[in-house]
Amino acid sequence: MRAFLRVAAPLLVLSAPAFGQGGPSPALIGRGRILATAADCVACHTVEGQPAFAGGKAIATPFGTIHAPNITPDRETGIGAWSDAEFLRALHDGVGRAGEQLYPAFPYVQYTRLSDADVLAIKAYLFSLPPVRRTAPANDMLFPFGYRPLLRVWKWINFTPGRFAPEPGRGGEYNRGRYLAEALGHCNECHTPRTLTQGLDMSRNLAGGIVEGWQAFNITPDPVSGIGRWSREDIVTYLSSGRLPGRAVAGGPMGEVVGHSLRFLPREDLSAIAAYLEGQKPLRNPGDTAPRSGYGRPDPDRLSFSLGGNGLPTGRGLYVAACASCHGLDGRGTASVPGRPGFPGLVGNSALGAARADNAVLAIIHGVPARGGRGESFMPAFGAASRIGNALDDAQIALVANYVRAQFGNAAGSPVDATSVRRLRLENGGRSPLVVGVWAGMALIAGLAILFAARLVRRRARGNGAERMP
Amino acid sequence: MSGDYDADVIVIGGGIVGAFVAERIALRGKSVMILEAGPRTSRWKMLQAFRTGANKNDFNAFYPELPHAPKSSGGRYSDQYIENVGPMKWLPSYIRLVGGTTWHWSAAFWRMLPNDFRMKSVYGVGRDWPLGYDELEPWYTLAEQLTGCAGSDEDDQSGQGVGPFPPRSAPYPLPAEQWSDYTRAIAGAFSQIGFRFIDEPNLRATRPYDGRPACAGNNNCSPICPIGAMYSGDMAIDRAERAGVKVVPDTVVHRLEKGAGGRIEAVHSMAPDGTLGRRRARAVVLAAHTIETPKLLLMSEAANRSDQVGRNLMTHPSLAFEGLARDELWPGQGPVQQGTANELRDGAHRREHSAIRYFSNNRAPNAMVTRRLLQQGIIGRELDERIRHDSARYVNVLAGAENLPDPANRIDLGSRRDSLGLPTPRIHMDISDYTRRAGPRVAADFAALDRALAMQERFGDRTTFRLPAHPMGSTIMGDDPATSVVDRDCRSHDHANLFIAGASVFASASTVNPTLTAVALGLRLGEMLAGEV
Repeated sequence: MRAFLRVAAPLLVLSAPAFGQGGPSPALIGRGRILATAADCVACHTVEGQPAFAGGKAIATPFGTIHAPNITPDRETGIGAWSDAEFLRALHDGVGRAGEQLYPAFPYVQYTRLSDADVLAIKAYLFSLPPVRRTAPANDMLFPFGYRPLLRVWKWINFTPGRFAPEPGRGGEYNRGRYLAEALGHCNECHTPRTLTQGLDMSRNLAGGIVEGWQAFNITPDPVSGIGRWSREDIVTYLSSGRLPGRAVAGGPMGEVVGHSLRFLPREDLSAIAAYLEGQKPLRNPGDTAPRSGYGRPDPDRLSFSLGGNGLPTGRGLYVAACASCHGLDGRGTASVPGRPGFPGLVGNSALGAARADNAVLAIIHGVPARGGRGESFMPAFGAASRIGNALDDAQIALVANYVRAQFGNAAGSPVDATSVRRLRLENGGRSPLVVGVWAGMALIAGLAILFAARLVRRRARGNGAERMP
Repeated sequence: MSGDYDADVIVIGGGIVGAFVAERIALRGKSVMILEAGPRTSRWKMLQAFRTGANKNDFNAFYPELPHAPKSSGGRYSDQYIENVGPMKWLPSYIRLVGGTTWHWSAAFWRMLPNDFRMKSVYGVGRDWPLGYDELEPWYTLAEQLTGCAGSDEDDQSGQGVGPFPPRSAPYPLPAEQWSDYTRAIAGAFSQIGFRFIDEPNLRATRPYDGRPACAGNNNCSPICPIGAMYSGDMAIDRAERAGVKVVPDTVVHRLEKGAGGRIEAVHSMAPDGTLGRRRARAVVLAAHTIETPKLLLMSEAANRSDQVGRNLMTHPSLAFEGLARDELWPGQGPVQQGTANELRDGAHRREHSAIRYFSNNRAPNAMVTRRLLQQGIIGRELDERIRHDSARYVNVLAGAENLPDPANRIDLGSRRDSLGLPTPRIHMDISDYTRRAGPRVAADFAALDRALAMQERFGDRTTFRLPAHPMGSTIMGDDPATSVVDRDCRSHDHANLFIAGASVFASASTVNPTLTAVALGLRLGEMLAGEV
């Protein structure tokens, strides 16, 4: 797939007619395809290996598991019966076809900024796809969050509907980047920390968040915590390939974003996103003193192959046995030669320079998936789901993670143990303090109600008793 | 699972073929259990055992050495296991553990040629198979897709100048490997002597495929791929387990219990400590490779009405061209084996003598070269220089031949006993005149190759056939129950619910590595059996 239309020149788009005579034009459908790619719809609405956009993927949230719906044009199980107005209302207002409130896992907080024309182009594209008959499993929400009207309260706190307007005083490239990053790409869904109510903390916009256990790092232009030392070219390279040699490799959800979406965007759009990121307010994270990719050194021991320990392998021993054939005994990686991929060095890798071990541990457990291009980096999984007969247990993963972070990354980062690896492995979106708060509140209200009821009953009983007393 | 059965199907042997049979059946909702004699272990553990082990000559040596599951060689129990009684000493390299012998191989994944299936009717020698290439073709294709085979769709693999051949219903799922400098040099030499070097299809991923990375050129395919880029049986086991197959390691099956109506009633096994087990299934698939499969049948006195169990043992007798070329060729870059010359793989000469297939060994020769120099007493600075000099110029080309099914070549039960008290295999193996008559042609080609590569020094004996791995034929397939062990569906002629999967059913050897044909037969068997149990 090769995107050639320029995405997100909003003024131009607004003037484009949504529909010509006799249904959407191929040009509109093509434009919708590119917009849907930039918005990464497929990431949530597709189960890997199943038909695209047919839904069913489970999305873990702090309030329970949501199953993304089928958005193919099947009339019964998909969105084939939706009108333009209904589709617009869903993306702009977070309201479903039957008027129900939609969970904000569907990023209408950002999509609300899309122009009507772009939303309808996306709809035209989706309606051009073959309908797939498939109903997503029911959501599995923690009580009481399955009760959708509660979302009105969430929206009242966290959601401001309204279309995109170019930021005055900024160039066209910046504003195009802003539309791409904010309205379509919804970068801050992952990269911005959340408030108690799981809304975006816009005072710390893009200063880093957590998604599916992975750290979505600070991408403000701060030179220490963020990407202030990355050149425009660096950012474009990373976004288009998921890899910036010597600095970073996109694993986990970011790897998926690159794979489904960013690698298909034209360079000028990626450059616009970079311009937008460069124009954000630099934000420092507490405790950060050096950039994540500024740590680590090669291992000088290039001769010892021993597993180490007295029969029990050490972290370095496991690294030598399971990792060094690609990443090198010294951690400098393997050079690419014609016909064979190189493998990235680990020295200076930003996941290893992070204060927290989360991304290093999760990359070992799940690997870094192939994104479908040739010559791209791919790391197999080393968790229990290893496909290459190379599973490590939680304690062994902790040993390897501690070794690679201490040697090639941030030695001052807090080490992990089997328990913390296990916790990360089972990570399910975490549990929001809000859930506990709501439960506590409900418990309090229930308790008061019981007390009140009991008091009432007792009083009535006493009254009745008095009448019956001889 | 149903009734008093432990599973719908029990598969004996947890290698690549057994795993694919099991997966096929499990995908159709049937319960399947794999009983594997050896243990389960991890790639990284075996890699470390290789790196830190002393004996780097025997690929078996780094794999678990356990008294209850001896290998064909490579350890104190294994070295006492196989007994050779014929003119040829042969230890057909195999290991016993979950994943099986494809933990160490070069991953060549060849289709046989249509003529390989009809040796008797086309060339008047050997036997015809009861089935042909066309019938196996869809299963070849499926096997290539499940494993991620890299190959060239343009090559004439028959070498007969007929365009792309044999016919394929789908292209190779992965593009062919890029050739190393050494392979290009060898290919150039072959073209000078009238041959065309072509790709050898293989299971080293050329880009990420189904959870495994692309080959990084560690040159360590045997004894073990350090990064899992090369397909191995553990990956087929992984697939099988995802499909619901239960894998039971450290379970040595030692007897098939015969019941009423010629059916196999139960499978008897021993744990490492000798504890006995008895399991029942609607059907039993024997997938324990070419030595252990007939050994179990002989121990059980099963499936042997024809007296052909253990007989017709075949392999690929080979001659080696080895020495130092004039120019630097730098073997050792990329995989351990690459490229092949197939002009003599088929053709009228097969009436007179064996087919021949040339292929080049690309193993980094440093250790071998060094050992040889030390034996010559070379030390100090000269040693360093000579290691560099000789390693850069080392050439190793192999000529693989075929032998015909001959009842005299056989495995039977030896007089020794293993740690569980079970008889050990005894092998009688010889090389027939049919194979030996290929010798002069190979000698002439090797002499021409001497000139093309300007060889400065020759190593070893070029005229003595050696027996590599690739055992085949010991439970031969045929239509006639009087002369064969299984029928065209891999079903025992004697027991309606006993099946055999693997190279032991081959009725001809061809000159190509047997694994793909064994897997294709296994997939076909699995699909059929899934509909039957």
